[in-house]
Amino acid sequence: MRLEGLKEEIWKCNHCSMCSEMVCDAAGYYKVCPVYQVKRFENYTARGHNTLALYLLEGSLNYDQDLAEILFSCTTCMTCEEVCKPMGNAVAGLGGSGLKSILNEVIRPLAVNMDPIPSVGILETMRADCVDRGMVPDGLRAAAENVAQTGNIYGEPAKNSAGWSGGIPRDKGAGTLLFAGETAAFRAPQIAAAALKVLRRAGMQVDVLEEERSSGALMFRSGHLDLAGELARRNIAVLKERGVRELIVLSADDYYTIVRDWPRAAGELPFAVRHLSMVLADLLRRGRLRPSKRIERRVTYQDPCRLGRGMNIYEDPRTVLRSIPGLEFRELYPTAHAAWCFGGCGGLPLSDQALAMKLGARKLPLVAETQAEIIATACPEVRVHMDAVIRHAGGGYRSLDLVELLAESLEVD
Amino acid sequence: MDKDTTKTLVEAIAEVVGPQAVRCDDATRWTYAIQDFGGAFFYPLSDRYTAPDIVAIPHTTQEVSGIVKLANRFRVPVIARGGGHDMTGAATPLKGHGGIILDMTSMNRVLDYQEGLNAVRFQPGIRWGDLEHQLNEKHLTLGVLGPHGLHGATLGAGVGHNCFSINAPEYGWPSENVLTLQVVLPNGDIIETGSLANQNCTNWFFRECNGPDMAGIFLGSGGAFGIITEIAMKTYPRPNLSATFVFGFADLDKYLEFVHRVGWFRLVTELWGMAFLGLHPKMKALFRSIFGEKDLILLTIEGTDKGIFTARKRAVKRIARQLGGVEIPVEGLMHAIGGSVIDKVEFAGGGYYGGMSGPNDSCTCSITPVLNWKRVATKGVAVLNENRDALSGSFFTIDADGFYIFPLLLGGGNCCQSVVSTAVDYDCGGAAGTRACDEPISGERAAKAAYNLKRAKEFYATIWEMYLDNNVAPYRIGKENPNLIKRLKPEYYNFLKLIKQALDPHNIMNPGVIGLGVDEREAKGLIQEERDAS
Repeated sequence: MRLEGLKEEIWKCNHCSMCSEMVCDAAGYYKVCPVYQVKRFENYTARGHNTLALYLLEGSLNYDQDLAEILFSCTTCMTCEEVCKPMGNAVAGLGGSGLKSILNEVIRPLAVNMDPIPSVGILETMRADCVDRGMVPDGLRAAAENVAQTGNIYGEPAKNSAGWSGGIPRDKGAGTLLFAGETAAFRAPQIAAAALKVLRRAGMQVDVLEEERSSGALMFRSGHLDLAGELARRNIAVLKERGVRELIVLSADDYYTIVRDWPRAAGELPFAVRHLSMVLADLLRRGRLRPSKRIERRVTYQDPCRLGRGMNIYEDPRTVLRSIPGLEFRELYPTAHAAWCFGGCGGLPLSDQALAMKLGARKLPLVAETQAEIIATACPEVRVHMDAVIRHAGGGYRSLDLVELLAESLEVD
Repeated sequence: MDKDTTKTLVEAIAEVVGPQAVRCDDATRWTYAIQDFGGAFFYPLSDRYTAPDIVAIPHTTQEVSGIVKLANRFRVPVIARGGGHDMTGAATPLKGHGGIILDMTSMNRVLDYQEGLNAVRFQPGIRWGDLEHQLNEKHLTLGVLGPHGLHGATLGAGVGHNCFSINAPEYGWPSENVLTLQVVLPNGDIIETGSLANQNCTNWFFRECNGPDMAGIFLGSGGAFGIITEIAMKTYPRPNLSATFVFGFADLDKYLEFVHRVGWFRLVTELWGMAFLGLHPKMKALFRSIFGEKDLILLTIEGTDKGIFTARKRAVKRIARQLGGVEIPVEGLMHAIGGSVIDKVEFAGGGYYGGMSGPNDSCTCSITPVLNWKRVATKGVAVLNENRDALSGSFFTIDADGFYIFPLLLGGGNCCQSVVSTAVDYDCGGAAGTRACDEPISGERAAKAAYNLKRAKEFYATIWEMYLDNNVAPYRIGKENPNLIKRLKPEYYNFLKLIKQALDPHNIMNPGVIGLGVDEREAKGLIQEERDAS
């Protein structure tokens, strides 16, 4: 059982339940676990998962289909780990998400352990145990089979992965490479195209792979660890051979996976990695991008879970949105480190589509409170899922990636 | 419970709460087999507890009543569970009993604000933080903000198990703020207490009327006499003034006199003490280098009237000066960040607790008069020093093994907390006869793990026995204080049992809690002692 390797972490959990449901005005939290809000049984929360893990180790419980259903109902949105960060909310109260994000790095040299219980890692390891036992929801099994056969979860031919860039000049061997990711490549090509055009507008030379493979993000999240590891090793080898010095990643999930999961599976990365929002904010700050066309709309921002809580990137996307003239930015509540997941993470749309849609629908009243017309985000996976939720709800909002808004304001077309 | 009975009962409960709100699969049951915070070495390592047979989620009082009636018919225990923070087994089924757990957290609505009458009525599954959030929108507060850091705990479990609360020095114990209760009795009847006992009174909440204080019998009873389904509590104007102070005292007696006086005169809203005597050696070294060998007090004063607020600040400073206290200037810093330190620190993040005290830490939170604290703490330190080998674990966050003890003012001016936190080195899979993992540990390693756990339990019992013989009381009892049950006066214990028998003849309400509903020898821990010995 792979779970054996996390024994100590599992036993550290004090079962305080803050990861289940909690409201704390001072720290900006209004409820915590999105799945628990719908399911209500505690086994759908991080505390529940950690308890299940404990009893799996202790021997009272065995993996079965009921347990697998519970484990694959999680969005892996990481709010549980965020709320678990020791003293993190005192810090958030003092200095917001920014201070919170650097605290751990500052105090680590003092040998003070401020890591949260790795509840998502524990969950993903239990999922891996389920994969080993063949207990995988059909949608995720199909996605894994697609990845194995064609290199992406959609089963699209790998040779079509750069179809979105048709007509846009690319700079082969430039050293800087835009990693579009499978969802932008096959389900939201306009985002990838906008990104490439905007980067070129800033004067950057950008390469694109002719046959891009999945980063393995969903495979890591869904417990297909062996397959995910293979993808990581293969991708690193391809990028190394291409002479990539910097990777610009479009998807929040891919960015997290490349920075956090790839090194664990395949060793140190031979290139730098930035999420697109970081690059755009940097270009705007340096004056290399000057959006000028006014977009007279009210916009709010959905923090992608893996970009915000996962990678502590909260300000750069907001910097991009605030740079666009005419755009009126309205914050959601709760937001940033406490933002509710839209339901599109962790493979949930593939393992339980109805639940994923319900989680998204729960966010729409929060959007309504902001009176925003556009829900912006910084991740194609989130954008595609938001689109589905909005369509299901009968419209009322537009969902856009922030690079689409920036491209419009820059009039790159 | 056999499989056929479980199936029949699940179907019957599904008719009451709906099929989506009742489950009996293993994964669900085992999730509810643990409900602790800082007391983990009792379970799952304990052989006393087990998983429930069924978990149900009621949304209304009528649904609770319906399930209780079914439980009577099937003679199956019913245990109401809130946020699951108790560390005394209060909402975990005992082995040999099992039963139905009612997860009350979906009964979480605010039902009534009575601004003119300073009251709020709500369902028991609402979380402290959620209720406070809703009251704050109306510029109100409950005053008491719930147990430490746990905005995720529920009000029903809090008052049902006599939890203490943040801000108790100003607002008193949570139970003191309860006005009326609605309770489902063990036979399924629904009663309301205080002013609501009058069938023509629906919107006035007053406790001390219409006969004896019947709310009191359910507060702290741990669900032994009924299940609380609605609560009305006092509300207060939300304070808009807040100041935080730290004082250091070189003399422990004067420090405690200070704690006593500021509580006695109700000058402070919240107070935490950190006496040098009770610190771990590593913490002593740290504190010595920063503050010297001082006993420290962190306190908050809040208010709505500037004149009264200012006068309270002055009075606190004057008392501190009179007793030789030195103010450590933090007020400016706190003012700059816009609040009191306590309301922010209180929500420290779950991992803080796990990291601080570890999984097998067990806290002995208890209450004693402030002026008794020095005597008890001194004895506590002596017990700790005599039993160092029992403290085999460590507090991860501070890299300290062993313990801490501190006084915390819990309300009313003369009631403080004494905590001994013990950690034990765990080794899942081998300790204390737990069932095997894939690779069960054995030999010397297993023996060491079992020894560590045994010693930790012995130590925990020794500390409690010392406490209970020195004017210290546990304020929540659950199923983990046989030493208290042994010490209850026979007439009092019999009285409790008579009430239990009258209300719950089939003994379905949370057997084992406060020593009721189980064999007296089991309640007093004698059976467990025999089991441990064998």
